[in-house]
This record gives sequence, C-alpha cells and structure tokens, in this order.
Amino acid sequence: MRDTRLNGAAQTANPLEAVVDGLEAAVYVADARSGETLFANRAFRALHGDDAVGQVLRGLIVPLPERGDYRVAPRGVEAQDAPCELFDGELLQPRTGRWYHVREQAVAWVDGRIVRLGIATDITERKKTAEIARQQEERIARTSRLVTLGEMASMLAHELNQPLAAIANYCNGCAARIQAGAPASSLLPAMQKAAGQAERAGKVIARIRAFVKKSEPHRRATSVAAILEEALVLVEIDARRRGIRLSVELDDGLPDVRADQIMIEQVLLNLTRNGLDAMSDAPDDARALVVKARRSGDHFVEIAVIDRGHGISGEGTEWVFQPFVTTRGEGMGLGLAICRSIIESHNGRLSVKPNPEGGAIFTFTLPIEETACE
Amino acid sequence: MSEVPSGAVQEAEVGQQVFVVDDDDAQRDSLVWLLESHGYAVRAFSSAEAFLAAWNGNFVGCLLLDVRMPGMSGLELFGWLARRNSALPVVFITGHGDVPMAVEALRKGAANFIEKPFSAEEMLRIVENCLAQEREGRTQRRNQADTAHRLAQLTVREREVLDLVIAGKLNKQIADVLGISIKTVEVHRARVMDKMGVTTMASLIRRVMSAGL
Repeated sequence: MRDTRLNGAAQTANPLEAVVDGLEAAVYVADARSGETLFANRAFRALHGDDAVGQVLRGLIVPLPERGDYRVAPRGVEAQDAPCELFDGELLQPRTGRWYHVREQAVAWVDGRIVRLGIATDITERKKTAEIARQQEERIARTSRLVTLGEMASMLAHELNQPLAAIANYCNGCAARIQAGAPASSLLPAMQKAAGQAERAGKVIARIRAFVKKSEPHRRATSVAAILEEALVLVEIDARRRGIRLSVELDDGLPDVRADQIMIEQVLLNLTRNGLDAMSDAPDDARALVVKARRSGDHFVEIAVIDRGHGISGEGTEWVFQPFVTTRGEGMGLGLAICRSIIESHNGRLSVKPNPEGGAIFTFTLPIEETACE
Repeated sequence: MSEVPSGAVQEAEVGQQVFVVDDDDAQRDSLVWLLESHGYAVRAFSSAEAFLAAWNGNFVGCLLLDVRMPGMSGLELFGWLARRNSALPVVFITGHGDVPMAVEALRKGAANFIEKPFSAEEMLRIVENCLAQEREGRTQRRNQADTAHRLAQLTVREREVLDLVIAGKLNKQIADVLGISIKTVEVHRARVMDKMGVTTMASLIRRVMSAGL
C-alpha cells in the first residue's frame, strides 16, 4: 500500500502538485503581464490540452475574466501589493454553454514575478438545479394565484361587508330620524356618506372584475400527461403524508386537449385534494385515490378522480357544485363551483357519481385539440 | 348630538353615553349616526390609544369596542380597563372568524359581543340591555356603599341588636341574650332603624341583606 502511494507521488514533481492535480477544479497560473500560462493542473490540462503551459490562453474553453472584469488590473499589481484578489465571479463559456465560478488572485510566483493564480470550478449542474428550482417556484406562484381564488373571494367578501354595513347603519339612522319627524335637510350628510360607501363597494367589484380579466384562460394544445404530471406532483406529497396510495391510469396515445394548462391543473388539484380529504377517516384498504384519463368518443378526453371516501350524502349529487356549499368547516365552499365553471369555459363537463365501491367519482371532459371551436 | 329626535327610544339616563372605538372610519361614523338617531349620546374614538387618552374613571354608559385594530387591540384595551377596575361594560364588535376571541373576552368579563355584519335592531337591543344593566349595577353599588356607610355609624351594642333582629330573635330573647331590659332593646332598635334610614323591619332586612354584609 505504502509503496504504491509513494510511486504515485513520485510521478509528479512534488506532493503539493499531486494535491493540486487531484482537485476537480481547474487551477492555473499565468503571468500577470504577458498572460503566458506557467502552470496548469490536471483538470485544466484535461480541458485545454497538455500543451496549455507556455501558451497565452484567452479563455476559449475555461472562461477567463477579461480586462474589464477585473477589479484591479493584473498588469498594474506591484510586488508589494501581492497577494491581492483580482476577480471572483461566475462566468459563462458561450461556446460550450458551461458555467464556471472563477477566482483569481495576484501572487508572487516562485521566481518573484507577479502572476494570476486562478481556480475555475464548473458550476453548470448547480446552476441548472437552481434554474429548475426557480422555474418550479414560478410555476407554483402562478398556480397559487388560482389555489387562493377561494381565499381571494373570502377577502373580497369582507371588503364588501364594510361599506355595506356602513350603508345599512346610515339608512337605519335616517329611517329612525324620519319617523321622529326630523327635517329632511338634517339627513343630508348621512345620505351623502351612504352614497359614498356605495361607490366604495362599486370599486371593490371593479377590482374583482380586473382580477378575473387578468386570469382569463389561455387555451392551447396541451398534453394530458403533462397536466396530470404537473398537478399530481403536489398531490403525491400530500397523499404520501396521509398514507393514501395515489395511482394514475393513463391510456396510451391520448391526443392533446385544448386547454389552459394551469387552470386544469387547478381543477385537478381541487378534485384530488377533496378526494384525499374524503378519505381521511377511511380504513387502510380503502385509502386509495385513482386518477384515470381516457378518450371519450371522437371529440373528448375524460379524466376521472376516483376516491373511496365517505361519498356524497343527501339528495342527488348536484348540490356539491353550488357555490357556498361546504361540508368542511373552513373555506367558502367555492372550490367545486369554480372547478365547474373552469371546465365549462373549456366546453367540457364536470360531473360526479357515486363510486360502486364506496366514495365518489368526479369526471370531467376536455375537448380534443382538433375539435376545438374558434 | 344636539338634535336628538324626540320619538327615539331614549331610555338612556342622563350621563350615560355610548363610547365607540373603531379604526374603520365608515364603520365608526355610521355607527355614531345610527346610535344618535336613536337618541343615544355617543363619543367615538378611532383607536384604543385615543380612548385611553380621554378615559377617566367617571365614564358612564357602555363601550362598543372593535376587536381588531392596528396598534392596541380591543382585547388589550379591555384588559387595561379591567386592571383599573373600570365598571364600564364592554361590548365587542367582532368580524368573521373572531368568535373564539369574543368568547374568551366574555369569560374575562365582557358584557357581550356582536358579530359583523349585524342588524341595527340587534345592535340597538344589545346596547340598550347593556345600558340598563349598567344602571342597575350602578344603583346597586351606590346602595351598597350607602348601607356600608350607615352600618359604620352603629354602636357596638346597636350592631349586636341588629344582628339578633336579622337572626329573627324577638325583643325578649334579645334582652335575655344581651342581659338588658326589653325597654332598652326597643330603644336600640329605634336608633338602628333611624340610622339605617328605614321605617319598617322588612326594608331594614332587605337593605342589610342586599348589601351582602
């Protein structure tokens, strides 16, 4: 063991060089004035070729800072200033598309001249991961605009309540005074204030309009698999946490549908969350949520969300789509009503029927791209 | 406030006021209008802090207090008043979802709460009840103080006689217990009735009992 290691070390000039050669980062030393490469470690040589030393490299493979990038001009560094930092930043090599974190320092070389000692680390993968994370965040943010539609409605309801309550107070007060025979002119300020409050309520409504307009659907050819994948990523986490099996049955060769992907994801999210909620007290063997997608006739794709929860009690099943109907304490009961209006705005249908095995089956259809009107 | 319509409820005793503390301008202003239209004297404040700045122990009536306000909250103001033994009853105005908070306030001695949105009728009824209770409470407290004061004027002997009278003893029994003559008992009794400001036995007993002494 000991021998092999010694042999390995003997192949290079000294142990320090062995360490530097062992680094994954590309390490190089270049003359601060001429730019001539004086030293390159193995990683650097692997990129630039074994003849890198002795050449003036212009960052063709590993991107090197250009003159304007330096905080201190390397040529101007005097012996007494070294060591000092020259550059620390991320650089893109446009030809290969790879990103490097590059750090250069001015140091005194073994022969006394000032050199640039550089370390370049390939951070392309890390960058990619960060980019994916950023895109995901963006997507979640877009989705959450819809997720919180119910909350938004609740907030607006509160904002409408304030002016309406004030109007009621002013009017009730006026009524009492009229009954008591107060002169009409004494009612004027209250009447004017009530009118002002009515305008305030009107503005709240205008804001709702603007919001709805902003979220008008952008319908285009969308893959059903993509919709399911995107929406169910979020649901999967939730399902696992609750000990519910989630399975997806997607028919082969499904055509694209004409849909606003985010809106349909929102519908799926709502339906699957409802399904999970319905099974919160279900026994182990019934803790399964199935999402099925298949072709329905010539013009539609049908997506079904099948749960084995408590099902829908009461007369018929249509009532669940009524706005402000809720079986849970929280929320405004707008989820399913909004889902239905989204599906109908896509010329599809959203319906529910009891699951013969217990629970409920929510099914919605979306038009296949070729058949889309317009 | 000066042009109070004559036909309005107006049962509020002179001196009683409805205090309104609410940060929402429209809510507060319209509430003041509504209350004044029904004959109440109203003082409004746009924050708990503003109310505190004006408050003194002589505020009489009831306080309509919004639970949620920026700065000092309604609950905090309530706690502050309670620590100063304020007798001003507090009615909380709560929004949607604040009911648990209101229940908590009730447990701590709030007079009542109204959930927004409320009808004028409901609000006026709660205010009226609250003011009536406040009047009653104040009368009772005044009577208690008066009775305590009168009791303090009695001599030791007179107090002994009073206790035995209330215990239902006859003059002869009292004379025996205290080792004095019936005549002397009668003199003490007359003095007790006089000092307590009553003319009948029944009112004497009622007065001493209701004072809880």
